[in-house]
Amino acid sequence: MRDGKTHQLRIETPEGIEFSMTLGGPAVRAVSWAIDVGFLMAMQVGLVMVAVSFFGWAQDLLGAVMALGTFVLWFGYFVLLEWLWKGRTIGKRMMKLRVIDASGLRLRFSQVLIRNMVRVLDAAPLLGMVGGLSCWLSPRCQRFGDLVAGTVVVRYAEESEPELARLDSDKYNSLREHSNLVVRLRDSISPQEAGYFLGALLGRAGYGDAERIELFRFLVEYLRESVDLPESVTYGMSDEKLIHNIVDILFHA
Amino acid sequence: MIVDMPKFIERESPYWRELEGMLDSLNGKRVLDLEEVERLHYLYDRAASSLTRLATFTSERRTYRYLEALVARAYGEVHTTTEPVGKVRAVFWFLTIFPQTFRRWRRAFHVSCLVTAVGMVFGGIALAVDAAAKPVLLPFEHLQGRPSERVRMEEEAGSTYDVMGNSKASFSAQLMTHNTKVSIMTMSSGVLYGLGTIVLLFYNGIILGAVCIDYILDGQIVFLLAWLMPHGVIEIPAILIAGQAGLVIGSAMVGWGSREPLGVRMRKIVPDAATLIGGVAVMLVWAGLIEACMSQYHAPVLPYSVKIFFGVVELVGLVYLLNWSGKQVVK
Repeated sequence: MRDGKTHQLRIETPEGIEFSMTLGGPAVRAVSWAIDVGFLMAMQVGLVMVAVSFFGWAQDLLGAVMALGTFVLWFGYFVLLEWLWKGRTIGKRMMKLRVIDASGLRLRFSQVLIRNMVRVLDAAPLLGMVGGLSCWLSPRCQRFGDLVAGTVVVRYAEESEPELARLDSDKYNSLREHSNLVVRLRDSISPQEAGYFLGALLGRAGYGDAERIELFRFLVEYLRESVDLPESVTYGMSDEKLIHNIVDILFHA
Repeated sequence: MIVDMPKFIERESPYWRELEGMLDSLNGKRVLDLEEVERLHYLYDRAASSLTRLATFTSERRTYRYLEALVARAYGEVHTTTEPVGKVRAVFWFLTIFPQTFRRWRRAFHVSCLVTAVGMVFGGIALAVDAAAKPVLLPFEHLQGRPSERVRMEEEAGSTYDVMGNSKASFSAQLMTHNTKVSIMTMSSGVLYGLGTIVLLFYNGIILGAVCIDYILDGQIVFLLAWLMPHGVIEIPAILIAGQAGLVIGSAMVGWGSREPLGVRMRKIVPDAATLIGGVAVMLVWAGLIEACMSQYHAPVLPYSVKIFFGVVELVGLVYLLNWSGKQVVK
């Protein structure tokens, strides 16, 4: 399913595990396609130069090489790269997109072939307008080729492990003495908010003193809107220290 | 569930890295032995379990996303059961898989033939009752004159010089690419619930019917057969099979009598549609070569009887391929 706001593709495995991926929207796919077309045009120029240098003496052969070469280049580029690079072309690599099976299984060659054959329809009448419109209207951002082949285009990013070691979590944390507050914090703060707090702490060295004070003052004010932080607990604690201790609670049991 | 993130990552990350390495080495090509398959399953289960535990823990989204991507990759490898494409042998595929697939969807082929035949009848009648409509029905310059005049000119020209001269290769390549594009479009249009395919088949039928009637009414049946048969007995069925593939896609889009969702229906027919269009491409390469090297030569250079006989032999071969080839092979 595509979530109405985040364009997420959610897949539930037979084992009951659910995972989600962000779908590539029409705009980012159009950019990726434009990059690919740019590369194809460059390769087309290369093909002409190679063909002329090798077969310039025989007009008939030159015509045949050009006709077949152009056809193979424009159809074969997408099929070959998406198959060999597991759903990616040069444009998709640059835009961090990948074609995958709509149910999360491994992409099959027949799917790659069909989704790229149907490209002739998606490209009509000009600049992929049919495909773009279909992608825009489809709940899974699928152009006709994706619909037939049962594929979707998702965004991927290399994820790395968090840098929690830089947080000095061994230091005494007075908030931990208030177990009710600990539970409230864990319940009230969303993963996204927790990520922002962690990011602010990890990047604090890059700010000037005034900016640093202002940033953590803003975060604490923001936090107080959703979580009740009793004055008796936070008394004497700087905004930065308060955020540090909250992050420590959120990330360390 | 409360998780001590650093300890959790420290304990589990060696398993994640092992799974990642295993997936990288797989790359869809290497075949695992039983021990490795068991290990892959174990690592997948372990990563999936970590993902579930992290889902209940609000804070660490980067690790969660990393695990999501890892589990998604592993899920694809563990649950996909298709053969890698590299294992398919080309000759076996063309002589066995392709005809088997064709026979599996014979009804769609019959519909494809029927639509084309209706188009032919329409085109033939339209030209017979309104000769002035010829430029509209046959928008090709070389078909505008009287057929008997063309036959006279072709035969005279053929006896004095090589009509194809030094353009056989380029002409052949252009025919192959053009016909393949038409076939791909005919198949692709099936996504419009089959209607696009039907329109294109009908239009092809109109042109074919109009050409046939034009030559028949002018008494040039032998020339027509000798001109069209060497390449047409392969090329026309190829377009019909492309139409068959389009109708297969169209029927899956409509989903008559099926309670399965669209994605499941499409998943079932995609390999067959790919096989059919692959077979069509092979047929059109052959037809392109024959059209450039044989169809454009007429009597007295190449006797009509020879060309018609060649066409009949090809037709018998094609009928055998599509109806009986690969029958003895257990699926």
